[in-house]
Amino acid sequence: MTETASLTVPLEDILSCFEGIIPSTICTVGEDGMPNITYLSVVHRIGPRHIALSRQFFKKTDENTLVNPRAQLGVWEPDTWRRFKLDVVYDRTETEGPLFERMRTSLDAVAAFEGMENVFKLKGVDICRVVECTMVPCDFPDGKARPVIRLEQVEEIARRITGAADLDDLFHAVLNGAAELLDYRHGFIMLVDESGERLYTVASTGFASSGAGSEVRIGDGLVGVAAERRQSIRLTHFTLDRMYSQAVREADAPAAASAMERAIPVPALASLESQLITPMLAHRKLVGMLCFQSEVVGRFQAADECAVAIVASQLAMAMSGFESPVAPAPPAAPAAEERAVQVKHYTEDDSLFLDNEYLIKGVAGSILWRLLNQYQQEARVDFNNKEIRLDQTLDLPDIKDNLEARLILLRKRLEDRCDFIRIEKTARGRFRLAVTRPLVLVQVAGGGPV
Amino acid sequence: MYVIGDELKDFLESGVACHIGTASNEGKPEMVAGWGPRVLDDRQSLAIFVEPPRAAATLANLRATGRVAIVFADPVSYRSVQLKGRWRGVGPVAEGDPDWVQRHRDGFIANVLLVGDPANGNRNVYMRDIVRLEVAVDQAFDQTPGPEAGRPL
Repeated sequence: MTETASLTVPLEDILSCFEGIIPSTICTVGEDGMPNITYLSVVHRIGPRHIALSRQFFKKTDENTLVNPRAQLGVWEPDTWRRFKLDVVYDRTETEGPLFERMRTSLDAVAAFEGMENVFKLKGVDICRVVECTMVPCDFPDGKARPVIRLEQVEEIARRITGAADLDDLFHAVLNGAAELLDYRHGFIMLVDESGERLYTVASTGFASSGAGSEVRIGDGLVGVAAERRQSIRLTHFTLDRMYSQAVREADAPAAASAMERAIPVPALASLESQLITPMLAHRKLVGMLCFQSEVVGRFQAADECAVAIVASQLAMAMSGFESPVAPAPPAAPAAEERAVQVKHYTEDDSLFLDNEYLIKGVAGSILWRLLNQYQQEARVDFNNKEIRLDQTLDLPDIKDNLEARLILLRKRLEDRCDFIRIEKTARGRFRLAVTRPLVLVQVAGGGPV
Repeated sequence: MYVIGDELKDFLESGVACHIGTASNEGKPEMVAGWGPRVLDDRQSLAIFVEPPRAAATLANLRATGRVAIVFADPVSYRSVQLKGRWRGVGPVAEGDPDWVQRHRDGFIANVLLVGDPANGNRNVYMRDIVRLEVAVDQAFDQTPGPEAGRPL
């Protein structure tokens, strides 16, 4: 077959083979004519006639391609278990550029999750030209159509985004729209905090625990690495990734210390297999991360990544457009006569504890402490966003959407942790503090125990 | 020659994934799935089975060069071993061979299901007809992913 002729099986017809769902193999040939086979976690298709391989632990393969650039790859199609052989010729190795960075981010994210940053290092990306692609004979050679994402579905989510009345509505539009229209049933949104160093969960759907208020340091773990690099990360077979890491770990060194314990766990499925983590970028700034998970192997593929990237950008842009006007509030509800709850506030980190149970910290903690004080001292229950925004004591950063996002987080966190303090939205830019048990407010100098 | 010990024999004959690599005289590589690896009594050779519709190029390469590499990988632990050696010929399929091959195939399928690989289409993993190959083993390498991959055993 000449290299200009079309492939017997076009690569675009077998896209699911390039998702890393089932490990691939590569066979090269040494100077002495002896073949050598190595496993690959993923073969990346980067064009109609080109594939890319991550260069990590290839020793013999690298030696062989120097003397004989020909290789054969074996890839599996997960839905049908059809196997395809790709005859390729090594073209070049890239050690920088967009493709290298993208593959490095995926590798670093898994490494960060597994605590193996020093072992998983991408040395380069080998680009190979595909000379021929054929299907290995099998008993059931017919392919299976994958569900496709239609533009109309993405457009409908975009329509819901533009129709959102406020931030809460916006997050609901994205997460519920994705669940209804794209069948992404488990999703969460993390926003960059005022320090620019952390992400916090502001909304979620489809998890046993909402995870509202959970935090990730930018640069740590899957979400943190994706945020730091402003790149999407797509994992298609988490069990396999973990097994692979375990194998490397056992071959190398004892496990690194576990990640820092977190006061609130980030939303996660117990049987997580697929994950799609997408940066929300607007005006060249990282606003947050839009994340979806699935228990199904290979759930998120290349088309899903494109669709979510569009939605994430829309979400980020839409967030910057919300203002909170001032409006009068309806009357308050009385508190019930019950045992008093101690609310402890640590001044250094603004962490709040309800009867010694951790609730929230940072800006959200500071806001709630202010509200509770005004509730106790002035019997106030109705508030508006603008007065809080203008309150110098809260030291709110100059980020237009920060306050409303923090109020949403606070409301969800209260819903998760107690049934006697509620923040209820009464109108656009207005909310009510509903307290149904007596409170004892205690301020403590210093940082909280979490 | 390389002598296969008891522990390695058990591993090679478990439900591992097997791929056989060969090359033409012109250096064109070729891979095919292998089934039912069985370490022979001399511990320096093994029998392995391939499916004729899938193995035409492999058999041609073996006849032309005799050089062969076989990688064995446990889908659960990722432990991988590569044996390299010389083709000794095609042998007849003996009476117990189909059952032996099926035992290996069942073990392999059970392993891939264990790690969550999609189960719906695995009827395409193998074909019924088999041919028996025999290989003399000269070298063995640890192929488990990691910095030590490629270390001679």
